[in-house]
Amino acid sequence: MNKPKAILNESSFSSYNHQKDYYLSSPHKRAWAHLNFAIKQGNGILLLSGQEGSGKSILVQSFSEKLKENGQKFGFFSSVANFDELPKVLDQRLIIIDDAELLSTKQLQILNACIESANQQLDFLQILLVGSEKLDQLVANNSHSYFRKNVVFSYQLGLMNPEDTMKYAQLQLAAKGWQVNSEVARELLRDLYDCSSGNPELVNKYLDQLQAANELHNVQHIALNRHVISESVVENALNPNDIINSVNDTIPEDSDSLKNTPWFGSKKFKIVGLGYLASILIAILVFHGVTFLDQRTKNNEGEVVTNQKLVDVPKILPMSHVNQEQLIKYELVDTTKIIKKESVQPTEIAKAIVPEPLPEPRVIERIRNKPVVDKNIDKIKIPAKNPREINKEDSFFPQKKQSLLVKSLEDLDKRFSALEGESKNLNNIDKTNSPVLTHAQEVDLQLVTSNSRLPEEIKKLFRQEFSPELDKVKLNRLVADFVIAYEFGDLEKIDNLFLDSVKSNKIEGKKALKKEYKKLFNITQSRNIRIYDVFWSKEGDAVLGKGAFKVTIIERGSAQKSEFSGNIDLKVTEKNQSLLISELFYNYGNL
Amino acid sequence: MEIYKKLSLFIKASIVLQILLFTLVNKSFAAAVGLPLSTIKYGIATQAGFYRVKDPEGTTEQSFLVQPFNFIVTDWLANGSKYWAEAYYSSLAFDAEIDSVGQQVRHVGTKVGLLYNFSATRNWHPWAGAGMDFSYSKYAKRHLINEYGFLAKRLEDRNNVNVALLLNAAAEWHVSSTWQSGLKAEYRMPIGQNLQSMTMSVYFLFR
Repeated sequence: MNKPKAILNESSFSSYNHQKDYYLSSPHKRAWAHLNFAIKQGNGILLLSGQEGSGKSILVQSFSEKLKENGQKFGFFSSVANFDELPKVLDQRLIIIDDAELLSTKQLQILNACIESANQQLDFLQILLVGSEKLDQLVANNSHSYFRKNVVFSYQLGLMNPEDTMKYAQLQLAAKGWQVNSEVARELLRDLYDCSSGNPELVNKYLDQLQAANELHNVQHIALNRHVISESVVENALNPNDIINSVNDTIPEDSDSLKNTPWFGSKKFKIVGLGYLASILIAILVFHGVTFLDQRTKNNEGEVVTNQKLVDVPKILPMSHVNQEQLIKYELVDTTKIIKKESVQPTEIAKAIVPEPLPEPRVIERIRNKPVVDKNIDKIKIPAKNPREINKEDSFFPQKKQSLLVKSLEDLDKRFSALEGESKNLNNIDKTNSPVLTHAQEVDLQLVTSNSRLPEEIKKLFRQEFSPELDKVKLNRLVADFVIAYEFGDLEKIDNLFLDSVKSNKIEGKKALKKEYKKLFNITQSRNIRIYDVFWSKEGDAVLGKGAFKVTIIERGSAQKSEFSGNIDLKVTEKNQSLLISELFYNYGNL
Repeated sequence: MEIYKKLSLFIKASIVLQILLFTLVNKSFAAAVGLPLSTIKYGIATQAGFYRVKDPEGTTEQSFLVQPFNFIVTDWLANGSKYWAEAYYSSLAFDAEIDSVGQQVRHVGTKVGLLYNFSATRNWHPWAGAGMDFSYSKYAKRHLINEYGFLAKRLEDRNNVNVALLLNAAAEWHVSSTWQSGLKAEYRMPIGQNLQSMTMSVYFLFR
């Protein structure tokens, strides 16, 4: 008799280390790249949101591990419950808060105050909030508009695609000591994606369920001589309705083990039998309108759940072992589900409990309306300071940049004072709703405030914020998209980021530029780019960003890294409500 | 001295070709961030290997030759492959046998080809390629000997322009950010009656 190639036991589970075996799926890779970009930017609040179970926490934990390895210090709150310890980590440059959707208004105000304070002191502070979609709703809430101002980056973590789901599940199974026949694996993994919609947590739960089902086989010493995991077990694990029957069905009639240990005399038989009887009893009770389902009960993790949750989430099957109580509960769930929903398929259950896949990661749009800028306003050009002078120093807040900002703020105050004398209407300005003072916005503000006709216009600008093309989040997102497309070698994405008539070093037109990037992507096996100290200012209808960059590439066919750095100028134009790069010039500071 | 005139002409032509290539490359450089200003590389190779001549009177014996200086120009193409141009000159002698023509060969030519990169292992990405060899050869002092080793027959010298197919494989390593070393194995398959070879070269490229 063939022995099973792999037998599951609890130790194989307990040795599984989620952190160590962290699988970087494509949505996680993208999120990682976005985070990597975001933390290299200036002050502000960064948002990472995503569906429950999408792996935000493990992503952030792994990311913070990487930061730690690189010697970067940061404050990490795995729970909002530890929020009181915030003062202890305020000296760090980055503070990460998980489950941030649970933050109260007061806590948001405190965080906002921290950022505002850092802004005023020209200190560096970033706060990364990680949470479910409720976090987006929380920030989008009208009463938190003061908080939104300081959000400089936002990313929504997506779910895995079928391919990722397959790889993820394979990794999980391998980590648990399972060997999966490829034919069975295909069947299993296709169903896994259907059931889980690519949600890692749901995949884990289905796999745990699979383990539980397999253990029933092992208890009976059933030889799985063709597959390590039999198809019927897989099927039943994903379709819990018939799990108990399936065990019975899969027992080979001529099995030696069957002869040695009669199924009907086993402990399992008693358990199953009791469970079966209990389920019939409960079904009768429910059928007769007994309010059994209204009672609250506890799931296997001790969490209080409603019966509705139990009905909807039959996947909460015990992970490490199957005992009588759990089997009975399983039957309970099964029975109620049959009564409440006829012929419910796992996919339907998954659809019921898993929202539709989220749209592509997006930047949270500011809720305020677009400004209505009076075209009759005579704009006075105020030359922006040359950021090249700034880039030479500290990458985040160089002295010259500090003095420039201070000077700009002082100028702004003077203009306010002057205008206050001109018009009493200025008292109506809602200063709490004033925009973030990026350099670009300062310039824009000065353009408007320089005009003597403008108290009303100022009010408009203050209330409506600045034009979208100066939206720092959007601009940062554009740069981040470029960075990600560059590092991933995504030519299509590069194509989408540039205007057709884009100008670059000695080249004009997107086609020629794309050809250059195609060559670069083809001749390099790895690319890393960092764009930093980008200093945005308005130039006509476009926005000009001047900054610095550092590129590391590894040519194909070699392991040698080549590094280049220099200055980069980006001109961004709005077309069809999206921002596109119309000019990208750079020069190498050193070769 | 005719061969030296041809050699001089060839060197001049190769210099013009290199200047032309450099100009072409420079016209469209570096619009993409990180793409080096010029990806063209120049190099030198030392080649050693076994040669034989497919002579009309009979294929010669195998002869071992070291070519100390081959000049190389190579650059990336947009699709991730790279072209390879190599100029060489060699002079080699083949001993005569009863049925094998002894001769002295002077050989000047250029190889052009394309190399494709592939991943052999995670960290090793060698090259494989094919190309053409265009050369001018002069086969002098052609003769046959008898069974006692005496001259049996003197044959006329012959000159011809040769074309050969090349198959090659190479592996490269960076010595520094501007210098690269490599090892190349190459098989030269003649079209017509000229040199056949199997060689190995060690080369250094500079950007």
